[in-house]
Amino acid sequence: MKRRILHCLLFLLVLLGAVAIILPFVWLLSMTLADPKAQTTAAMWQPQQWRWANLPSILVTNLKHLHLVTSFAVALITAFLQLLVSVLAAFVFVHFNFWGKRLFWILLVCTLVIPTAIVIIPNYQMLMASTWTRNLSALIGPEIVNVGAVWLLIATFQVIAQRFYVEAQLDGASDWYYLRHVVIPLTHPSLITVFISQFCLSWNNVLWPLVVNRRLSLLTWPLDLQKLGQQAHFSYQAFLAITTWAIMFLAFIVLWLQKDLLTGIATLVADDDR
Amino acid sequence: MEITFKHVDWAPNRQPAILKDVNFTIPDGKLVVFLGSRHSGINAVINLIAGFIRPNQGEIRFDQQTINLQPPQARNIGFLSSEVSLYPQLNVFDNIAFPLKVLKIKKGDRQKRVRTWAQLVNVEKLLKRYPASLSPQQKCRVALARALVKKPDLLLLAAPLKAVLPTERSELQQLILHLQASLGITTIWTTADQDEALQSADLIAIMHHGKIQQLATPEELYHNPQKLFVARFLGHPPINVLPASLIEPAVKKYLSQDIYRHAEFVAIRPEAITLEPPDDYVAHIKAEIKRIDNFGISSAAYIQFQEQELVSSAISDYFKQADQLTDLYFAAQGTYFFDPQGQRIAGGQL
Amino acid sequence: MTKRAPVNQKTFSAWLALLPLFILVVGFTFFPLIKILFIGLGKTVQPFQINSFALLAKDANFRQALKNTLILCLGVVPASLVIGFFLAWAVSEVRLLRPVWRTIYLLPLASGFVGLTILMQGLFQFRQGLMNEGLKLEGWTVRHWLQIPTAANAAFMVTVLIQGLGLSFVIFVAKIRTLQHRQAIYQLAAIDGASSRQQLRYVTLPALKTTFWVVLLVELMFVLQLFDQAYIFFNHHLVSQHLGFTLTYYVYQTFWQQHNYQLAVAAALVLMGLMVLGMIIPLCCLKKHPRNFTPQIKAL
Repeated sequence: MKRRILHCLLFLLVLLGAVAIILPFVWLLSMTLADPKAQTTAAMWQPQQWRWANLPSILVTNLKHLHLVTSFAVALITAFLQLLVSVLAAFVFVHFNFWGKRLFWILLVCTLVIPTAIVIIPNYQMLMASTWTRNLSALIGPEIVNVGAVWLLIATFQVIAQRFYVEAQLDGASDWYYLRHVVIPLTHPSLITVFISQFCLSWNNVLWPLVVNRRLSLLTWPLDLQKLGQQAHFSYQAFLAITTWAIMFLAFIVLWLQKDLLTGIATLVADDDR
Repeated sequence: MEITFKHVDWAPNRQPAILKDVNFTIPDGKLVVFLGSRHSGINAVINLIAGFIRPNQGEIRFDQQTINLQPPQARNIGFLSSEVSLYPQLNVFDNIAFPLKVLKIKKGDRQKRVRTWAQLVNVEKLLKRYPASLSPQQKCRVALARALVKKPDLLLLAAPLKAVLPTERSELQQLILHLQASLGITTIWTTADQDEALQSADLIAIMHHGKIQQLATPEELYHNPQKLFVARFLGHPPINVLPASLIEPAVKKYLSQDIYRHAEFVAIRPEAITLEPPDDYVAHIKAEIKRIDNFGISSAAYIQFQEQELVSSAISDYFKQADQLTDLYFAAQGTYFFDPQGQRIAGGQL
Repeated sequence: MTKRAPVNQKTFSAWLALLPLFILVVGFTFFPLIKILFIGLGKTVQPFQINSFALLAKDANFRQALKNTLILCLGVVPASLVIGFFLAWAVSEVRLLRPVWRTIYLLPLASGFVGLTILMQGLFQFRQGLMNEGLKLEGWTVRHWLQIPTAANAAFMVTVLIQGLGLSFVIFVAKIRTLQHRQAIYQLAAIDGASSRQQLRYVTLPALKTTFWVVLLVELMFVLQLFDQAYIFFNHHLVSQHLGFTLTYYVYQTFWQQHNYQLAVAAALVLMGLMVLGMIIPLCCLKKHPRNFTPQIKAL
């Protein structure tokens, strides 16, 4: 009986929490989709009066101002390059013994305690000084390294290696073949986790584009949106509408792939059994 | 504790049924082995009794009380499985003490009981070790102590000796049998190993395709199989099965008219095929002995009879010559007739 | 083949594959670090000087930034750890519609840090913000929450807390989900008579020790380096008067707006010191480096 009560209470708690979380998003939708001429607040909240056409129309009007394409390209390329680099590195760490392995690993872990704030200044100087980086690569470059991604892939590859590496070698497969045809197909969740995490980070990055943007006119959508929002004629509703798009876009991808994400994260943490 | 299943059905989510209309009663204090392959339903039965799953239909009763909805926590059962039976983060002492801790038994009593049980299963020297450092045999002992320390009404053993080395199995088997007998606790043991079943059980339930083929003592199952499946399942070498039409003349003479019409299969135990006619025999055939194997005190003859191969077993040097047509007799005691559905209709001790 | 040949071959191809990562790590992390500390940037800027720390200590802005960072840290990290775990456990215990609840609770994180910050900012707007709408319904007074410093700071803290909670939640949920797949040990605990609470204590929690350190690490890295959220929440030019004025923001302001290189670097070094302090214990507890892989097929 006590168990039942506890479970009911827990359910209620989860339900209340869920409502509390959804409420702001409902508010956001109501603000975005309400008739601009609606005077009373009550009118705003009635779903029947929501104008769903607001969403696409606002996007289309502001498309060229928003550099969404730039953001998207940067996020995509950064995530993809990170995946590539991390996969190669993780593969090597798991399967080979080589000179300098321990040292390099320690070096990698040390990068975790080095804050962005300290490297951002020299990176900025360095990239602005050279001529060949006066394009998107300035935004992409410093973001590619992610120790967490390498760590996660190492944990994943180790599991696969214990099971399949010797068999593959006995079958005569080269390391490259083994990587392409055994490891990568079997580790989709982790690969997706790395890609999506970096995509989200790049998509939401403010500091580095802000700093870089002082010399280059490459804006990403958060900065663009801020700028637009400051302008007098730009309505708050439009501001929120664009935010809604950004949120929906990212949330849709993440929530659709949440199973893979969760599996990937769980692999990163690894087992605790002795 | 007496266990009864009445018309129990169970199917996992969105999959075909594993258990169909299962009925049985297990008397108090007996060791019953559920024998069958992995998909025969034996795991489902033990999970239902433990309370990990609930039946879709039917009733499960402990001592005449229906307990379908009772959670495992409330059922006072000791459980041992070959996969996970110990908590990895606790040492042996704490593992055995865990059920007592949950029951909030005082520390002094707890320690006393744990030590008593550690002695009974012979793990006193391992009390400070962790499961990861134990051999499968040692883990089994500790798990046994853990299951029994809280004085359960029922002991469930889900393939307990599967992970243990074959050479160490008989020792553990003896330990389990000894504990069961001295405690008088109703025990259910699942396995796919028929030797294990035949050596341990008071009663054996043979399961196949989610149904209990027969529940009886080992002797009864061997000498009086109700189903063709049961007859085939037990015995080394396996029972010989022929289409009944092959020995039609003999069958017509031996069986009454209406039974004869339904006989589809005849099954003959290897030891029931003899060179001399016994007092009561079902059929007399002439067939060629292809090969004779002598091993130690026994021998086996491989017989070719109208494109069917039969095996006969006897004491060593019983079969003299191979490669010639010999007279062979099927003793009535070891010969059984089955209908097309595999149900026994005649023969044996019927 | 001699015995040494395989090792050398492997080292060469290993480093070939590692080259991209190596170049990037050295090029964008270690080389800049060394440059900034010992070499200086360009002709006009000298390498970092130790006495900058003294100057830094005298700067009221820096002290404020440091204080803000520590307040955020203390306010967000422990709460995220505990509440995030509790929510993850609660959502995992519920049987009915579990994927639905999990999706909803992941929504704040999935919206992205920027989107969520804008949303939270919007909630506290004077006109039509959710907060004021709710207050109007109850008949209480509405105010310019974002213009009252303490209120705005509290709102900001809540925003960061929600994001921290999201991070903690997703990691714990991921791990608990894996645990639940390993049904056998939970069945064991049930048969032993353990209630939900006891199962939590004796089965779930011991298995989550590593997870706890990972979450702590992630939270610290997240909170100590906060910038983006502050920039957006306080409309960038007002940040310095609010809680959003973190150490990273101080560095940004000092270098790019006040062009004071030495102070900026000094502040960044303090931040690094903080990070080392906070993260040394989790990192040591997690010190799993990739073990040397065996067995290897020896060349015939």
